[in-house]
Amino acid sequence: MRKGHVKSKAALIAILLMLIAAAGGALYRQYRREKPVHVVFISKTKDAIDFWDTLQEGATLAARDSEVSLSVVAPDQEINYEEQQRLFAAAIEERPDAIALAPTDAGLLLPLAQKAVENHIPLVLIDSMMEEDVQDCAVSTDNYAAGQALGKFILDMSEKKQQTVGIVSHLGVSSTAKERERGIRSVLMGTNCAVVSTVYGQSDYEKAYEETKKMLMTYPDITLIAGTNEYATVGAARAVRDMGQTDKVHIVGFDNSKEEMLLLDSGMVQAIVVQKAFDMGYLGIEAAVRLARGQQVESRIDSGFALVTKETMYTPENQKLLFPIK
Amino acid sequence: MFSIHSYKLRTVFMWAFTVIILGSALLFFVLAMGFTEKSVVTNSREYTDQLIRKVNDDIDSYIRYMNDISAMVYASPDIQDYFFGKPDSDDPVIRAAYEKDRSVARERVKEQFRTILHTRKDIRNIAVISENGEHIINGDNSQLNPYVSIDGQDWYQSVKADGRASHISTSHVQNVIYFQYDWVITLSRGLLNKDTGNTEGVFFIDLTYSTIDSLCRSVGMGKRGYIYVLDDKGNVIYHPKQQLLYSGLKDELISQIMDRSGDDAGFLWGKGNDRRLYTLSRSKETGWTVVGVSYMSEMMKEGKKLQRVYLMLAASFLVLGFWVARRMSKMITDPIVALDAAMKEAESGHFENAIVTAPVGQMEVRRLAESFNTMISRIQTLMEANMREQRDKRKAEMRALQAQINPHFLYNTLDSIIWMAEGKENGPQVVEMTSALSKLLRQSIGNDDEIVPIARELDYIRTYLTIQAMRYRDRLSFRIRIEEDVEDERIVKLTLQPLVENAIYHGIKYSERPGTIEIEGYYEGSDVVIRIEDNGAGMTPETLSEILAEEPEGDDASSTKQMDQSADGMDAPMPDTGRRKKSKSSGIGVRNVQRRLRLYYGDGYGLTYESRPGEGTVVYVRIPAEDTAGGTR
Repeated sequence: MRKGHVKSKAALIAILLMLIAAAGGALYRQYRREKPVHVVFISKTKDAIDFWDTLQEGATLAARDSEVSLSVVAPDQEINYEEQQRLFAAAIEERPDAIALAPTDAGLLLPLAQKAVENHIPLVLIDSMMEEDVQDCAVSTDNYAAGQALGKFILDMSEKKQQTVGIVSHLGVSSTAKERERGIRSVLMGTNCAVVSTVYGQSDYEKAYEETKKMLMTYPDITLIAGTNEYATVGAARAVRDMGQTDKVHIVGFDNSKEEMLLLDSGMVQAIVVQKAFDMGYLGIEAAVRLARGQQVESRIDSGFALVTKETMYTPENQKLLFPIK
Repeated sequence: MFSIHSYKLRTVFMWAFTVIILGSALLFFVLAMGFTEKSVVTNSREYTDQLIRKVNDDIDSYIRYMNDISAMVYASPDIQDYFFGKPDSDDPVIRAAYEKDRSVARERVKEQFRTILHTRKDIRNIAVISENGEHIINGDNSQLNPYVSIDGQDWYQSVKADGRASHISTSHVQNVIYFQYDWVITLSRGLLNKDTGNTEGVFFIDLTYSTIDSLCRSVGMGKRGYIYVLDDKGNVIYHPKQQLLYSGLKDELISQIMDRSGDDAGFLWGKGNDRRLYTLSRSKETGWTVVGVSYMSEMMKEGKKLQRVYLMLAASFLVLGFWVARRMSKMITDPIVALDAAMKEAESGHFENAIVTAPVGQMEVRRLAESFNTMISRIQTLMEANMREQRDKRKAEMRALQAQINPHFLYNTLDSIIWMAEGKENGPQVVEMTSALSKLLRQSIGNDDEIVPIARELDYIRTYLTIQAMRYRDRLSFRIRIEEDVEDERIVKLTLQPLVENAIYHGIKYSERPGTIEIEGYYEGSDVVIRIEDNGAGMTPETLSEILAEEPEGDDASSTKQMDQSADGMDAPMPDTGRRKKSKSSGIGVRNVQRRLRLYYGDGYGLTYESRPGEGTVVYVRIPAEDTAGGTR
């Protein structure tokens, strides 16, 4: 029975090895799952802007849900590219398990993003894109689709009437601005609603106001203005109001603020497309955590948007989107 | 083939132990974890229950406060005066007095509102609006939102339906106040015109939603856990993931909660890492339900540590078990293996190695070993006794052989001496023969050694032959030629004399011519050969085979004695039958020699006869030379 003995001894050893392997695997998985993960989120601005507040709220909740630690940093103002660049560089030095970045400039931060990728730090872009896709994952509103939705609204609203459309954009370098404009133009091209001009408000009420005024003077037949973000929309609305053209010029736009809500309430603004900031923040950090834990993540995640008119602004869903809790 | 009996005891032991230990470790693990989870759930449920009850009580107290204010305002004469008062007449003086009273009342209401708002930061708005559009809001300059109709508001509609009772809205954005858009919970109540008894306006008070929000947020339910609040219709008042719920990214139990009664004990939901405990508390005053959600994974954090300890314990049990199994099976099988080996030794006849030396193992096995040892030593004793007996028997046999030669020979020799003494001139011959006989007798006694030097045997033969030569006179002569060293070789005692005797009695005696016996001793390889040749009558092959044929041992000794009674009657007239008898009897001596040589030296040695009738006989005695053969005993 020598042979039988050897066989059963081998079987015993095999069972032992399997047990050890299983236990090791379970412990490793547990370690992977429970390993403290640290994520740095570099936001666009520290300004008390509802969009970024809400986004950060979503980000914080995602970190809580995933049981990771999250630190949020941001330049004082969105226009402060260099400060964000510095913050990004510092974050890379810190070697966190993942970085989530809302880039203010599509080109300036690219070398740093490449450095992060070279150092094997998972990188998730939130809200805005960069000139090259070096990131592991991008979570944003599909701004092109959002622009298209707004374009369709303009067409529906016009009901075959001739419209002359002017666009008040925010930043020429910003991918969101470009995509939104492209979306609007793609729908309106060759229709009764012709886009005649685009001006840039630099994400500043005053600038948007001035530029709108200039545009309205240059193109006095403009009947509709589309703003590509909150500053552009509100700035344009103020200009239209101050020029006494409220009845003649309709306004549609993006994003939300208290003033914009009043404009919507009052009927001066016909419709706005609002991004799901909370979802964006949540999904962005969730993706970063998944990457940090070595899990698979889709390279593009659409956080969604909603088109809101005066009629739909107080539905429970839209209330939550439009009015942050103070 | 796969029967359990075909495996080694140790293997069976190891397997049995492995299965038992693994099974019990697993059982222990599952039971322990189950018990831990149960106790954790119970503890957590109690804790959560207390927490959410507290939340509900807090909410109730806010609502109660709003209700108190609404009751106060409801009964306020100032409000009645301001909104529903009418001048008694159109007299301008009375009208002026009335207007003055009215504005005083308005100021008092405003003051009251301001006080309330000042003392209670959790109250956002407090307002009275009549159907005719007159309103007092917050005691300051707050205005109604011109773009929003109050009619469209849910809280206003419910007041219209039942103005006497107070109504609590769900959480919503307060949009009837110009440019405010704050999240509030509105308590509304109809404004009764006491004069008409109709509801002719609305009173509402807004609780800042962030009060509820931060209250709910502040409740510690672990890192992932949270609470949420549903109103009596299942609308979400508060949920930390409300936006995700609307986007469909997360879902929440709402109808399941609404279907349950207010004093439900809670339940578990979800799987794996998302397994969570729902605990709910429903307020009797508001009908709102506060739901606490806590994650099992968090509650089991401590349990996880425990789990690791259990795993470690199970692993060490396993290792320990293996060790014990090995030790125990060794303890049992080792003595058995030793016993087995000892038995194998005994089987192959090496009894002296067959003792189980190390008395290890348990009592049963030890007893077995002891019994075995006793048995072996018994057998050994028996074997030794047997061997001693055999040796004694052979010795006795040899003594008998020695004895058997002597009497007849002695008789014949003495007879010859007497015969010689009767002839008067034979004096010297009588002396010679008598002294030879005496020498022979001396040589045959006083020596118990079984093996003797060949020289001594030859001495004996020489003496014997001297006597025989004298008896046979000129009919017998002999010659002994021996290589020098051969004399010192040793041989079994009394092996040569019977052969010489045989040569005389069966060869020379029957020969007509004078007989000669030649004895030669020499080496042949590693053997010593002693050749005894006579030129007597020789033997037929039948006689030869008769001489050397084996005979049953039993009657060997006795028949020898009987036969030899009549042996050696060489001088007496011998009938034919007697001759046959004689040849047979002598054969017994030769056979005895052959048997002893073979016994002593092995089958390759002993006697070889060559004989031709009428010419003579040669017998070769072959034994191993001493330095090579070394002795088989």
